[in-house]
Formats: sequence, structure tokens, C-alpha cells
Amino acid sequence: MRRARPLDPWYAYGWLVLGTIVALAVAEVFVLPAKTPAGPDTLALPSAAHLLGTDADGRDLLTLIAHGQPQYLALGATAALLAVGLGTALGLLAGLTRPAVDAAIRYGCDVLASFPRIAFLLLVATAVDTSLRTATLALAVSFVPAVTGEVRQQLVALRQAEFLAAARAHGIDWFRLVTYQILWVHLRPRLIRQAAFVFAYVVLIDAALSYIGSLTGYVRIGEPPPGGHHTLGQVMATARDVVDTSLEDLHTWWPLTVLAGYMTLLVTGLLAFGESLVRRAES
Amino acid sequence: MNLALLRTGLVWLRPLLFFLATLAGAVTVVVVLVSTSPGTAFDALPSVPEALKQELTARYGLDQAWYVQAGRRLWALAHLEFDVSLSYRSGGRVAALLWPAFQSTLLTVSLALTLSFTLAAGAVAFARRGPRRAGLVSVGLTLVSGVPAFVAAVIVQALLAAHLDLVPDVRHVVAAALVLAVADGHLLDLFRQLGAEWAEARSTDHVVAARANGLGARRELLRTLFAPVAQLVTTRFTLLLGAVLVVEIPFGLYGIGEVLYQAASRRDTHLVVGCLVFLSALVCGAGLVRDFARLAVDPRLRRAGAPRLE
Repeated sequence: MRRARPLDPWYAYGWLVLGTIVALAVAEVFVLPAKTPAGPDTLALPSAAHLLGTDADGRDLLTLIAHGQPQYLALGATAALLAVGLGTALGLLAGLTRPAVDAAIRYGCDVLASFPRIAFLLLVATAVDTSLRTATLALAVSFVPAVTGEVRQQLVALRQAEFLAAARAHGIDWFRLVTYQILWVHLRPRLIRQAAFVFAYVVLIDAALSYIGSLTGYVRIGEPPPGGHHTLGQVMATARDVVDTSLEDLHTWWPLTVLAGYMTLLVTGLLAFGESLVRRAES
Repeated sequence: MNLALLRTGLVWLRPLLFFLATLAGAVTVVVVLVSTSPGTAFDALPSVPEALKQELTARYGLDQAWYVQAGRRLWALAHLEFDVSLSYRSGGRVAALLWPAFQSTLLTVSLALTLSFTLAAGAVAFARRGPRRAGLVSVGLTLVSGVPAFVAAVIVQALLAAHLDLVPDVRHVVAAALVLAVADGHLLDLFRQLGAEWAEARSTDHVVAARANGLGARRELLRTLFAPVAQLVTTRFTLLLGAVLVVEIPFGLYGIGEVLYQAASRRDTHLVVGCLVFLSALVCGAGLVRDFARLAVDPRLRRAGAPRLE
């Protein structure tokens, strides 16, 4: 029988944040109006009518945040799946086949890892196009070296493992050994941690780029078509515009605080979720 | 020829070859991606007549087959020659345009790196003085450090805006470096990693033996810590180099980030190639410095047949 573990607060926090993201996305698709209407209540603090308050145009902040969710969920999940899938495949190839293949894959990863992620994204946006699909692919590729490195490292550590020798001695099928013992039992929590990491950072990079795009009029990558919803970065840019920098009118800071808080929760929640999964597996 | 000397030379040559190979690979990826790109920087200019566009395209060789373009660019870069910017007036040389931005970015990142290691080392020293303090540091850092760098940059810039001039000066650089040093979970990760390395170095056999014999083990401890800390510096430098690209712009600093965004929005492929080559040379260069430093400090690695540096 399984022993009940004490609840890890980070694990609970991670689930809470994941649940919030999904709930907001579901609400966006099924419940919320297509447009966020401007209202008379500008820069309002939380109330029963506006759970998170409103921005300078009187738009409900919770609705604004929720409108970005489906795009983020699609972008983050696609990039995470692609990066982890590709990275795992390459890591298995590197760890289980000939040294020459291993060397080639490591070289490729070193080359890719020598570009900062945002620089690589901007390179692809310049050379190919600025669509969301291309950006997702570029971001996924930029995370592949990290996943490959981790899978390869775990495989090297597993080479001496006794349970694998025992399994082989019992004549367990090689394919089953790799898919079940190595991938499912051993690597699963680590791969989920990597996926959560990719998800968090892809959403963050997207928000940062759309913020900078709205701030400066520079290249806009992966933005919804005109008439579509505002991205988190664009909403942040409008929130940044209205703050009173002399700190006399603190009301003007509310929307920016809410958005910053939401992004922080999102990133820390996803990272904490991954970390706590690995901790649980190791304990 | 002395065989031992040759072997020593080879040990030092290996990181250099690795550096050159990685950089060459990175440059090839960039050049091939850019050369196969459809369209040019001139397509998006509405006021320029079609004949002039074609003339410009031909002058910069952008109408040639992709492998011709790629070969020409690689040949030039191998001679350390960068192209001419496509979007700046009077055909600014890319290297001349990038140099001031490069210096500014490097200054911000180095300052952030120094700040983060100082702060993290201080936090580790403080946390060692008892479990309550360790808990305090851990919770405090989790709260402060969890904010994403670009979000922190926007907020800190807004908070300081009343005190900062429109033209960036040293205060902007310090503020940006502080954001980089703390945010993105950077300081928290560094605190944990440094703490773990410190604990591991203290429990190595030779340090334990030296302490048990009543010797001051500081020298041993520092030498043991050198390799993992050198690795940490390189990893953190690479991460900061990515984060700085989104932190510079809210602070109005003219760095590689600014140039790269401008170049990308004008589809100035020559300038984008320049930025990427500069950035990956920095990342690979940091690895080279790390490898040389480790070879210089650890005589075991200099012995022939030593395992390859990981």
C-alpha cells in the first residue's frame, strides 16, 4: 500500500496555477463576451462587479487576462510538447547509440545553445516570417538542447544501474525497457519539469516581445490579427502608460500591479510544479 | 620533439578547437538561415520605386542563389569582415554600428553578474548561521526573485522614472543590472547552487582531513570550489545575455537588444547576422575562458589522457 505523503505546498501551488490557467481559458471560450467592453469605472480596485478591478479604460482586468489564455495555452503547450518530444528523441539517440552519433548530437546542441533564445527567435522572425506558428517552432527548437542534455545525462547515469542489468538478464524486451523503465518510470518527472519550464518561458517571451512591440513599434511577432484580442504584453504596455511615476496617485498603479502579479504567479507556479514533481519522485 | 610538451600543447589546444568549431557552426546556421530567407529589407519600403529596389537588391547581391550568398557571407566573416547595414543611412558598417551597443550590453551583463554573485555569496554566508536565517533567506529570495526579468524591468523603470533622465546614464545601467541580477529566479537559483557547491566542497575528503588535522582549509576549499563556480559563472553569463535583451529596452539603454529589435523590424538581415555572431561569440568565448581557467587551476586536467572537460 502507498504511504500517504505530507502535502508539499509548492506542489499544491503548482496545481492551483495550472488549474487557474485552464479555468481562465475555458471561461474565455465558453463564458466571456467576445470583446472586453470599456466601462465608466476606470482604475477601480477589486469589487463584486470587477473581481480584479479595471484598467484606465474601465475594462475588466480579469476578462482582459482571460482573453489571452487560449492563445497562451496553445502556444505554450505546443512549444513544450515539441521541445520535449524532439529533445527526448535526440537525447535517447545520443545516449543509446554509437559515440559518433552522440558527438554529433552534442555538437549540434552546443551550436544551438550558443544563441540566446530571444536572439534566435528574432533571427528566425527576420529570416522566415513573424507568424505565431514560426515563433512557436523557433522557441521550441531553442529549448531542445536543454532537454536533450538532461535526457542524455540521465541515460549516462543509468548505464551502471542494477535494475537495468537485472531487467536485461531476465530477458525483458529492449523496446519495453526503454519506453517503460527509462522513459516512463525514470524520466517522466524530469520531462514534465522541462515541459513546465518551456511553457512558462515561452509565455513570458511572448508577453515581453508584444510589450516591446507596443512600446516601440518594433517587429511584432506572433500577434493576433487586427481586431483580435489584446495580448498580455499589449495590456501591460497600456497599463504602463497610465502610471503616475511621481507616486502621488497610487490608483494608477493598480492595473500594472495586477498584470505583473499574474505573470509572476504564472511563471513561479509552473516552475514550482515541475520542481516539486521531481522532488516527489526522488523522495 | 619532446612528447610531453606536445601532449601539454594538445591539452590546451582542445578547448580552443572546440570554441572555433562551435562558433563556426553557429555562424553557419545564422548565415544559411538568412541567405535562404525570401524577400529583402527593401520590400517593405512603400515610397521607394520598383527600379531602385531592384538596383539595391542587385547591388547587395541579394538576388543571387542562396548558396552563393551564404558562401560569400561565410567567406567575409571568416576574414572578420561584416557586411554593410541595409537600413542605416550612409551604409554604416555593421561592426562599427554594433561596437558601442556591444560595449554597453557587456557592461550591463558584467555588472549584473558581479552583483548576483556578491549577493548570492552574502546570502549563503548569512544562511549558514542557523536554520532560522536560512529559512528567512529562502523565503525572502523566493518572493523577490520570482518576478520575471522583463516585468521587473518595467516596474522598476516606472518607479524610478521620476528620478531618471530621458537620456540614459549610469543610473539606468545600475538599475538594469540590479533587475538582471535578482529577477527571473536568477538570485534564488544562484543562492541554491552556490550553497550546494559550498557544502559539497566542504565535505570532500581532503578538506575534511585538513580540517580534522587543525589546518586552515581555506586554500583547499577555494581550489575545490573553483571548477563548479567557473561553470556557474559561464551558465549564468549565458542566461543573463538572453535576459538583457528584454531588460535594456524598458530602461532605454542602447545595447545589442535595441539594435537587434530595430534590425529585425526593418528586416536588415546584415545587421541581424552581425548581432547573432557577436552574441554567440560571447557565449562561446565565455566557455573558452572557463576551460582555460580550469586547466590553469587544476593540474589533474592538464595530465595527458585526462577526461574531456564536461
